[in-house]
Amino acid sequence: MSGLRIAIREKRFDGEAVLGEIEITAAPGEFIALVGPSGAGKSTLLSLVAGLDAHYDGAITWDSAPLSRPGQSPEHMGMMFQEPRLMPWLTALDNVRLVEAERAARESGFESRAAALLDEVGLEAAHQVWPNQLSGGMQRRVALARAFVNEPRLLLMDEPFVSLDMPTGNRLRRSLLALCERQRPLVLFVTHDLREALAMADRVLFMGDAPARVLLDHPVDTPRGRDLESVDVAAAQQSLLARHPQLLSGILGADANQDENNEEQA
Amino acid sequence: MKWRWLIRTASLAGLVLIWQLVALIAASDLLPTPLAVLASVATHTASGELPFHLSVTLARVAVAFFLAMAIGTAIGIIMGRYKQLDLVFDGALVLGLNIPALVTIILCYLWFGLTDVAAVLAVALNKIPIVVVMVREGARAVDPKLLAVAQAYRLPRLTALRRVFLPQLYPYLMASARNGLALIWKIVLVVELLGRSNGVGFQLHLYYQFFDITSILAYTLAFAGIVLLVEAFIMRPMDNRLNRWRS
Repeated sequence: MSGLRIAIREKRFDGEAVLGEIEITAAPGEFIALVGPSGAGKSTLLSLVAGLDAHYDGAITWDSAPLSRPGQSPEHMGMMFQEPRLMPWLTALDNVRLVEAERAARESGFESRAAALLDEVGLEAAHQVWPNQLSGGMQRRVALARAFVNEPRLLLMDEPFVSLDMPTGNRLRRSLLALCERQRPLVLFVTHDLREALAMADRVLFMGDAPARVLLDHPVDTPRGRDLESVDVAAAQQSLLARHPQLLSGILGADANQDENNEEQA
Repeated sequence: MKWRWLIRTASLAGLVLIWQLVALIAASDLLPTPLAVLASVATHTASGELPFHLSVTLARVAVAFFLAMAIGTAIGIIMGRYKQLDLVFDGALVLGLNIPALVTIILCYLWFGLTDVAAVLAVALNKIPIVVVMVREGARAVDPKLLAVAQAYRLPRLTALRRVFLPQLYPYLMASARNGLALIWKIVLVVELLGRSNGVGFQLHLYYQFFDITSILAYTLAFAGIVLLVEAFIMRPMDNRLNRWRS
C-alpha cells in the first residue's frame, strides 16, 4: 500500500489510555487536518507518527514499511512544532542546513537547498540573523523552510501557526500551500481551529472522546487555500456545526453515524 | 571595547598602587614593594629558574584540567540524563565532593608513589566531582523540545550532540572551566609542596624556609599574570564567541 497507514490499538500514559483504536490511511500528496479540543490526543498521535515516542500498541507504516521507530522513517520527513523550535545558537541559514546534515553526509556532491528555501519563504535578508532577533512570524518562516528543505514526502505540523495575528498567519498559510503545491508532500496538520482546517485541508479528521479516536472523517470538496475569513470557509463551518453542534468539544451528535453515511454517499 | 580594557587595566593598576602605598607606610621586610617584587621576577627569570618551575606547574595544571573536564563532563552528562545511574552514583559524588583535597593527595602519593602521575591524578580527582555537579545540572536543564527536533529530523548522533545538545551545556562548561582552573592551580601547588621536587609549589616551600618573602611574591605574581592572560586571551574570547547569539 502506498502512502501512510496509521493503525493504533492503544496508547497509554502512566497506565491511562489516551489514544484508543485509530485507523487512518492517507495517500501521498493529501493534506489532512486533525481537529479536536485540547487533550484530544492530536499532538500525541503526531509524535507517534514522528517517531518521537515508540511506546504504543499498533503500527504506523509508510509504503507498508514501519516508520514509527527512529531510523525507519520515510527518507525525508519534515516537522513543524507549536513553537518554532530553532536552535538559538545557529543563524537562520544554519538552522535550515542543520537538518540537511544526514543527506550532506550521504550524498556525494550534495548541494544545500537551505538558502534557496529561505529566499522562497521571504527571508532573503535574514540568512545570517540569530533567531532571537527575528519576529515570531519570521521564526516560523525559518521553521517552515527547515520543514521543506529535504523535500519531505511526509510533513507533520503541530499547530504551527498558533498565536500569530491573522495577517501574519494568513501569509504563512499561503507560503505553506505554495510549497505544498510544488513539493506535494502528504501533510498531517494538527489544529484546534476548524476554519484553518477547512481552509487548508482536503480532508478533516475530527478527534475526541477518551481514549481519543477519530469521530468523523470529513472530506473538503472545495479547493485548498482560501483565507480563513472567506465566505466559503464560514459557510462550510456553519453547515458542519449545524449537523454536529458539539463536534469541536470532541463529541459526535447522536445521529452522527447516519450523517457520516450520508456524507460518504454524497 | 576599548573602555572595558581601560577599566580592567585601571582596576589592576589600582590594586598595585594600594600595595605600593601600604608597603611604603609599613616599611617592613614582611611586605616588599611591587617594584622590589618585579625586580625579583626579573632576576629569577634571568636565571632561568622561574620559567622552568612555572612551565612544570603549568604542564601539570593543563593535564589535570583537561583530564578533569573530560571525565567530569562525560559523567555529568550521563548522570544528568539517566535517573537510575544518577541514583547509583549520587552517594559517591557527595563523598567525592567532600573528601578534603589533602586526603586525596596523600593517599595518591602513598598508593602510587611520589610521581607526576600520582600528582596529576590527585588534582584531577579533586576537581572531577565539581565538574560533574555543574554539568549534571546543565544536562538536566537541556530543553527536550530541541532534542525532539533532532529526533524528528533524524539527525546523525554526532551532529545532534554537537549542534543541539552541547550548545545547551556551554554556560555550565564555561563556568566549570573558569572555577576549575582557579581550583586546580591552587591544588597543584599543594601537591608540589608535598611530594614533588620542582614546580612553583616546591619553590614556594623553599623560599618559605628561607623566609624570602620577595621571592614568594615574585612567583605568585608570575602565576597571577599567566592566569590573567589565560582569562583575557582564551576564556573571555571563547565566552564571547559562544554567547554571540544572545545579543
